[in-house]
Amino acid sequence: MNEDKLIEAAKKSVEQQPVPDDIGRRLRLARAAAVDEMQDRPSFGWALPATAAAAVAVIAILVVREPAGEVVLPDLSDDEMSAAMELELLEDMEFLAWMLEQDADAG
Amino acid sequence: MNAAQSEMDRFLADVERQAWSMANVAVNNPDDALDIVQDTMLTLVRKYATRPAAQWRPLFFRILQNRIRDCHRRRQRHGRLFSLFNAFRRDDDSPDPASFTPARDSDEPERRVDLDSSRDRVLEALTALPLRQKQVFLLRAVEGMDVAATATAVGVSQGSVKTHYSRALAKLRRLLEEADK
Repeated sequence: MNEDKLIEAAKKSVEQQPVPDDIGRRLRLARAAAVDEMQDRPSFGWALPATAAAAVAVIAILVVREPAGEVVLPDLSDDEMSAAMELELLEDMEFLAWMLEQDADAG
Repeated sequence: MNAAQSEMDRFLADVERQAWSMANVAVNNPDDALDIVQDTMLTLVRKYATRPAAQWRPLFFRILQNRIRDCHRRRQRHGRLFSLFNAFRRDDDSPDPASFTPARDSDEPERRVDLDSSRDRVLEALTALPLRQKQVFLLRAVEGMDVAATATAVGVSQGSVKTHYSRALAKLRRLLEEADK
Protein backbone atom coordinates (compact mmCIF):
# COMPACT_ATOMS: atom_id res chain seq x y z
CA MET A 1 0.00 0.00 0.00
CA ASN A 2 1.50 3.35 -0.99
CA GLU A 3 1.64 6.30 1.39
CA ASP A 4 -1.29 8.23 -0.06
CA LYS A 5 -3.58 5.20 0.00
CA LEU A 6 -2.53 4.40 3.54
CA ILE A 7 -3.27 7.92 4.72
CA GLU A 8 -6.60 7.97 2.89
CA ALA A 9 -7.59 4.62 4.41
CA ALA A 10 -6.65 5.81 7.91
CA LYS A 11 -8.52 9.08 7.46
CA LYS A 12 -11.65 7.26 6.26
CA SER A 13 -11.46 4.73 9.06
CA VAL A 14 -11.33 7.39 11.75
CA GLU A 15 -13.91 9.69 10.17
CA GLN A 16 -16.34 6.89 9.39
CA GLN A 17 -15.96 5.33 12.79
CA PRO A 18 -19.56 4.91 13.95
CA VAL A 19 -20.46 7.18 16.84
CA PRO A 20 -22.88 5.28 19.09
CA ASP A 21 -26.23 7.05 19.60
CA ASP A 22 -25.64 7.38 23.31
CA ILE A 23 -22.23 8.97 22.75
CA GLY A 24 -23.71 11.34 20.15
CA ARG A 25 -26.41 12.40 22.60
CA ARG A 26 -23.89 12.95 25.40
CA LEU A 27 -21.64 14.94 23.05
CA ARG A 28 -24.55 17.27 22.27
CA LEU A 29 -25.26 17.67 26.00
CA ALA A 30 -21.58 18.40 26.68
CA ARG A 31 -21.57 21.02 23.94
CA ALA A 32 -24.73 22.65 25.31
CA ALA A 33 -23.23 22.74 28.82
CA ALA A 34 -20.01 24.31 27.51
CA VAL A 35 -21.86 26.94 25.47
CA ASP A 36 -24.07 27.74 28.48
CA GLU A 37 -20.95 28.58 30.47
CA MET A 38 -20.29 31.47 28.12
CA GLN A 39 -23.46 33.11 29.40
CA ASP A 40 -22.77 32.37 33.05
CA ARG A 41 -19.24 33.70 33.09
CA PRO A 42 -18.67 37.44 33.27
CA SER A 43 -16.36 38.82 30.62
CA PHE A 44 -12.97 39.92 31.92
CA GLY A 45 -11.72 41.29 28.61
CA TRP A 46 -10.69 44.54 30.33
CA ALA A 47 -8.81 42.73 33.08
CA LEU A 48 -5.71 41.80 31.11
CA PRO A 49 -4.71 45.32 29.99
CA ALA A 50 -5.57 46.73 33.42
CA THR A 51 -3.50 44.07 35.21
CA ALA A 52 -0.59 44.63 32.84
CA ALA A 53 -0.67 48.40 33.42
CA ALA A 54 -0.80 47.90 37.19
CA ALA A 55 2.10 45.45 37.04
CA VAL A 56 4.21 47.90 35.01
CA ALA A 57 3.45 50.69 37.52
CA VAL A 58 4.42 48.51 40.51
CA ILE A 59 7.65 47.40 38.84
CA ALA A 60 8.51 51.00 37.96
CA ILE A 61 7.98 52.08 41.58
CA LEU A 62 10.10 49.21 42.91
CA VAL A 63 12.91 49.88 40.48
CA VAL A 64 13.02 53.69 40.84
CA ARG A 65 12.45 53.92 44.58
CA GLU A 66 15.55 53.46 46.76
CA PRO A 67 15.22 51.25 49.79
CA ALA A 68 14.45 53.23 52.94
CA GLY A 69 17.43 54.13 55.14
CA GLU A 70 20.02 53.43 52.50
CA VAL A 71 22.31 56.18 51.30
CA VAL A 72 23.24 55.83 47.69
CA LEU A 73 26.81 56.95 47.13
CA PRO A 74 27.74 58.46 43.83
CA ASP A 75 30.32 56.62 41.82
CA LEU A 76 33.30 59.07 41.91
CA SER A 77 36.88 58.87 40.67
CA ASP A 78 39.76 59.56 43.13
CA ASP A 79 40.14 63.16 41.93
CA GLU A 80 36.42 63.81 42.15
CA MET A 81 36.37 62.20 45.56
CA SER A 82 39.20 64.36 46.94
CA ALA A 83 37.59 67.50 45.45
CA ALA A 84 34.31 66.56 47.09
CA MET A 85 36.06 65.99 50.42
CA GLU A 86 37.76 69.39 50.18
CA LEU A 87 34.42 71.03 49.51
CA GLU A 88 32.92 69.23 52.48
CA LEU A 89 35.82 70.42 54.66
CA LEU A 90 35.31 74.01 53.50
CA GLU A 91 31.59 73.78 54.24
CA ASP A 92 32.34 72.37 57.69
CA MET A 93 34.81 75.19 58.40
CA GLU A 94 32.25 77.78 57.26
CA PHE A 95 29.71 76.15 59.57
CA LEU A 96 32.15 76.25 62.51
CA ALA A 97 32.94 79.87 61.80
CA TRP A 98 29.24 80.73 61.75
CA MET A 99 28.73 78.89 65.10
CA LEU A 100 31.64 80.83 66.68
CA GLU A 101 30.09 84.06 65.43
CA GLN A 102 26.77 83.10 66.96
CA ASP A 103 28.45 82.27 70.28
CA ALA A 104 30.32 85.59 70.27
CA ASP A 105 27.08 87.50 69.57
CA ALA A 106 25.31 85.65 72.35
CA GLY A 107 28.17 86.20 74.80
CA MET B 1 -28.27 32.21 22.80
CA ASN B 2 -26.24 35.29 21.84
CA ALA B 3 -24.03 35.65 18.73
CA ALA B 4 -20.83 34.53 20.47
CA GLN B 5 -22.55 31.47 21.87
CA SER B 6 -24.00 30.60 18.47
CA GLU B 7 -20.55 30.83 16.90
CA MET B 8 -19.03 28.64 19.62
CA ASP B 9 -21.91 26.16 19.28
CA ARG B 10 -21.33 25.88 15.52
CA PHE B 11 -17.61 25.40 16.01
CA LEU B 12 -18.04 22.69 18.65
CA ALA B 13 -20.73 20.94 16.60
CA ASP B 14 -18.30 20.90 13.69
CA VAL B 15 -15.44 19.28 15.62
CA GLU B 16 -17.12 17.17 18.31
CA ARG B 17 -17.55 13.91 16.37
CA GLN B 18 -14.10 14.01 14.84
CA ALA B 19 -12.60 14.90 18.22
CA TRP B 20 -14.39 11.96 19.82
CA SER B 21 -13.24 9.60 17.04
CA MET B 22 -9.63 10.75 17.44
CA ALA B 23 -9.79 10.45 21.21
CA ASN B 24 -11.41 7.02 20.92
CA VAL B 25 -8.61 5.77 18.67
CA ALA B 26 -6.04 7.33 21.02
CA VAL B 27 -7.38 5.98 24.34
CA ASN B 28 -9.37 3.03 23.00
CA ASN B 29 -12.36 3.58 25.26
CA PRO B 30 -15.55 5.39 24.17
CA ASP B 31 -16.42 6.76 27.62
CA ASP B 32 -12.91 8.03 28.34
CA ALA B 33 -12.93 9.60 24.88
CA LEU B 34 -16.22 11.33 25.70
CA ASP B 35 -14.83 12.65 28.99
CA ILE B 36 -11.79 13.97 27.14
CA VAL B 37 -13.90 15.81 24.54
CA GLN B 38 -16.23 17.17 27.22
CA ASP B 39 -13.29 18.49 29.23
CA THR B 40 -11.73 19.95 26.10
CA MET B 41 -14.94 21.83 25.24
CA LEU B 42 -15.22 23.29 28.74
CA THR B 43 -11.56 24.32 28.84
CA LEU B 44 -11.84 26.02 25.46
CA VAL B 45 -14.91 27.96 26.56
CA ARG B 46 -13.55 28.88 29.99
CA LYS B 47 -10.12 29.99 28.86
CA TYR B 48 -10.26 30.94 25.21
CA ALA B 49 -13.84 31.85 24.26
CA THR B 50 -12.86 35.52 24.01
CA ARG B 51 -10.08 34.76 21.53
CA PRO B 52 -10.83 35.23 17.81
CA ALA B 53 -12.78 32.28 16.40
CA ALA B 54 -9.96 31.54 13.95
CA GLN B 55 -7.78 30.50 16.91
CA TRP B 56 -10.30 28.04 18.36
CA ARG B 57 -9.45 25.05 16.17
CA PRO B 58 -5.69 24.87 16.97
CA LEU B 59 -6.42 25.62 20.62
CA PHE B 60 -9.13 22.96 20.75
CA PHE B 61 -6.88 20.27 19.31
CA ARG B 62 -4.01 21.26 21.55
CA ILE B 63 -6.24 20.90 24.63
CA LEU B 64 -7.56 17.60 23.25
CA GLN B 65 -4.03 16.22 22.84
CA ASN B 66 -3.11 17.31 26.37
CA ARG B 67 -6.15 15.54 27.77
CA ILE B 68 -5.33 12.38 25.80
CA ARG B 69 -1.80 12.44 27.18
CA ASP B 70 -3.14 12.99 30.72
CA CYS B 71 -5.45 10.00 30.30
CA HIS B 72 -2.52 7.79 29.24
CA ARG B 73 -0.45 8.95 32.19
CA ARG B 74 -3.28 8.19 34.61
CA ARG B 75 -3.60 4.70 33.18
CA GLN B 76 0.12 4.13 33.43
CA ARG B 77 0.08 5.25 37.08
CA HIS B 78 -2.87 2.95 37.84
CA GLY B 79 -1.16 0.10 36.01
CA ARG B 80 2.01 0.53 38.05
CA LEU B 81 0.03 0.82 41.27
CA PHE B 82 -1.91 -2.38 40.57
CA SER B 83 1.28 -4.22 39.59
CA LEU B 84 2.84 -3.18 42.88
CA PHE B 85 -0.30 -4.18 44.73
CA ASN B 86 -0.31 -7.61 43.11
CA ALA B 87 3.36 -8.14 43.84
CA PHE B 88 2.54 -8.06 47.57
CA ARG B 89 -0.32 -10.54 47.28
CA ARG B 90 0.73 -14.16 47.55
CA ASP B 91 -2.44 -16.30 47.24
CA ASP B 92 -4.45 -14.16 44.94
CA ASP B 93 -7.31 -15.90 43.16
CA SER B 94 -9.14 -12.72 42.30
CA PRO B 95 -8.78 -11.25 38.83
CA ASP B 96 -5.99 -8.80 38.18
CA PRO B 97 -7.36 -5.30 38.87
CA ALA B 98 -5.34 -4.08 35.90
CA SER B 99 -7.58 -6.24 33.76
CA PHE B 100 -10.39 -3.82 34.57
CA THR B 101 -8.72 -1.26 32.34
CA PRO B 102 -10.81 -0.72 29.23
CA ALA B 103 -10.99 -3.56 26.80
CA ARG B 104 -9.74 -3.14 23.29
CA ASP B 105 -12.34 -2.67 20.60
CA SER B 106 -11.33 -6.02 19.18
CA ASP B 107 -12.58 -7.64 22.41
CA GLU B 108 -16.08 -6.29 21.93
CA PRO B 109 -17.84 -8.75 19.62
CA GLU B 110 -21.03 -6.72 19.28
CA ARG B 111 -19.11 -3.73 18.05
CA ARG B 112 -16.94 -5.74 15.74
CA VAL B 113 -19.96 -7.03 13.89
CA ASP B 114 -20.92 -3.45 13.07
CA LEU B 115 -17.51 -2.52 11.80
CA ASP B 116 -16.44 -2.90 8.26
CA SER B 117 -13.53 -5.35 8.26
CA SER B 118 -11.02 -3.18 6.41
CA ARG B 119 -11.87 -0.15 8.54
CA ASP B 120 -11.58 -2.35 11.58
CA ARG B 121 -8.10 -3.49 10.54
CA VAL B 122 -6.92 0.07 10.03
CA LEU B 123 -8.39 1.22 13.33
CA GLU B 124 -6.81 -1.69 15.12
CA ALA B 125 -3.44 -0.84 13.57
CA LEU B 126 -3.86 2.82 14.53
CA THR B 127 -4.72 1.83 18.09
CA ALA B 128 -1.54 -0.25 18.27
CA LEU B 129 0.72 2.76 17.58
CA PRO B 130 2.60 4.36 20.49
CA LEU B 131 0.81 7.44 21.85
CA ARG B 132 3.02 10.13 20.30
CA GLN B 133 2.97 8.46 16.88
CA LYS B 134 -0.78 8.10 17.14
CA GLN B 135 -1.29 11.76 18.11
CA VAL B 136 0.98 13.06 15.37
CA PHE B 137 -0.49 10.77 12.73
CA LEU B 138 -4.10 11.63 13.61
CA LEU B 139 -3.46 15.37 13.55
CA ARG B 140 -1.46 15.27 10.32
CA ALA B 141 -3.42 12.69 8.34
CA VAL B 142 -6.94 12.98 9.73
CA GLU B 143 -7.16 16.57 10.91
CA GLY B 144 -4.95 17.77 8.05
CA MET B 145 -2.70 19.96 10.20
CA ASP B 146 0.70 21.00 8.89
CA VAL B 147 3.94 20.14 10.68
CA ALA B 148 4.10 23.42 12.62
CA ALA B 149 0.49 23.25 13.85
CA THR B 150 0.92 19.60 14.82
CA ALA B 151 4.08 20.44 16.75
CA THR B 152 2.20 23.15 18.65
CA ALA B 153 -0.78 20.90 19.35
CA VAL B 154 1.29 17.97 20.64
CA GLY B 155 3.92 20.14 22.31
CA VAL B 156 6.98 18.75 20.52
CA SER B 157 9.47 20.14 17.99
CA GLN B 158 8.76 20.11 14.26
CA GLY B 159 11.62 17.65 13.76
CA SER B 160 10.01 15.35 16.29
CA VAL B 161 6.69 15.57 14.42
CA LYS B 162 8.40 14.47 11.19
CA THR B 163 10.09 11.56 12.95
CA HIS B 164 6.93 10.36 14.71
CA TYR B 165 4.91 10.72 11.53
CA SER B 166 7.29 8.73 9.39
CA ARG B 167 7.59 6.02 12.07
CA ALA B 168 3.81 5.88 12.36
CA LEU B 169 3.47 5.42 8.61
CA ALA B 170 6.08 2.67 8.56
CA LYS B 171 4.49 0.85 11.48
CA LEU B 172 0.97 1.17 10.08
CA ARG B 173 2.11 -0.21 6.75
CA ARG B 174 3.83 -3.15 8.44
CA LEU B 175 0.84 -3.92 10.68
CA LEU B 176 -1.60 -3.80 7.77
CA GLU B 177 0.64 -5.99 5.62
CA GLU B 178 0.85 -8.52 8.44
CA ALA B 179 -2.93 -8.44 8.84
CA ASP B 180 -3.40 -9.06 5.11
CA LYS B 181 -1.26 -12.22 5.17
